[in-house]
Amino acid sequence: MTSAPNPEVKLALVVHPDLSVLSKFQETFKQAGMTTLLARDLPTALVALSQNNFEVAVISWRVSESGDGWALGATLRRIFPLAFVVVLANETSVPTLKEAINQGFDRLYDESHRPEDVAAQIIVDYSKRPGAAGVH
Amino acid sequence: MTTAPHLLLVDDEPNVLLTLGMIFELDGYKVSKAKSCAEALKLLRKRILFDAVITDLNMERHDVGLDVARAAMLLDPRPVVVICTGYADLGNTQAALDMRVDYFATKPVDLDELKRAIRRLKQRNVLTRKIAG
Repeated sequence: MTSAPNPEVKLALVVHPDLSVLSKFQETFKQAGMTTLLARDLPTALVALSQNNFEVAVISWRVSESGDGWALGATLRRIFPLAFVVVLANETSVPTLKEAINQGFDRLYDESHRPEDVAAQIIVDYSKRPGAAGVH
Repeated sequence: MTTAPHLLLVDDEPNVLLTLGMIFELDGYKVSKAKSCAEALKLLRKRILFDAVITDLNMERHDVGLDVARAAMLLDPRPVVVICTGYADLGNTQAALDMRVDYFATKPVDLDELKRAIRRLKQRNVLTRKIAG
């Protein structure tokens, strides 16, 4: 028997080419009560977002090639206008912040920090948003 | 009959107000203009419905345009909020992202890209309002 999905459980998508980064995000999000789908490439990410309703999306600025994560974020924003969509960028600079704004990201995090620390900060920032109940 | 979308332009440079105003009027917008943050805040407090607000950053003081953006984002319905500046730095760009400004343009502005972005963001606002109920 399949149980009905729990609407209180938040669904997150993490898109990053590095498997160790993905697993650290998944572990940290799981501790916060979130279910996480992982994608290492764009086709997998696109299939995931066509089949699920994400409340949180974390996207590396570089998935398969430099800068392709920006466009994926813009696509996600169009499909899920209310989702918390964040980018892991190679640096915090005027060009990357400007790109984050113009592609519709909610936040930019510097990927030079430890993934588990970034994941924990994302949970803190997301939990401050209205409608983020169920994440701790 | 559809009403023309209403745009508020905020800049202390008269030439920028004139030029951008003409361009958006030709594009079918009704354009209101403010030449300072104080003037813009007065207009925003009148609860006039704006579809989009484009504001400069440095007017009476450095980054004061962020106050215009902040006030515009409190309106209901919320207009598309665009910052347009020649003086982008880490502080004001990070502040704009934290506030969830819709678009950040640096001068000289690519006008076609700006017009496209405002059209797209207006549609996104409509969709967001529908989903949020």
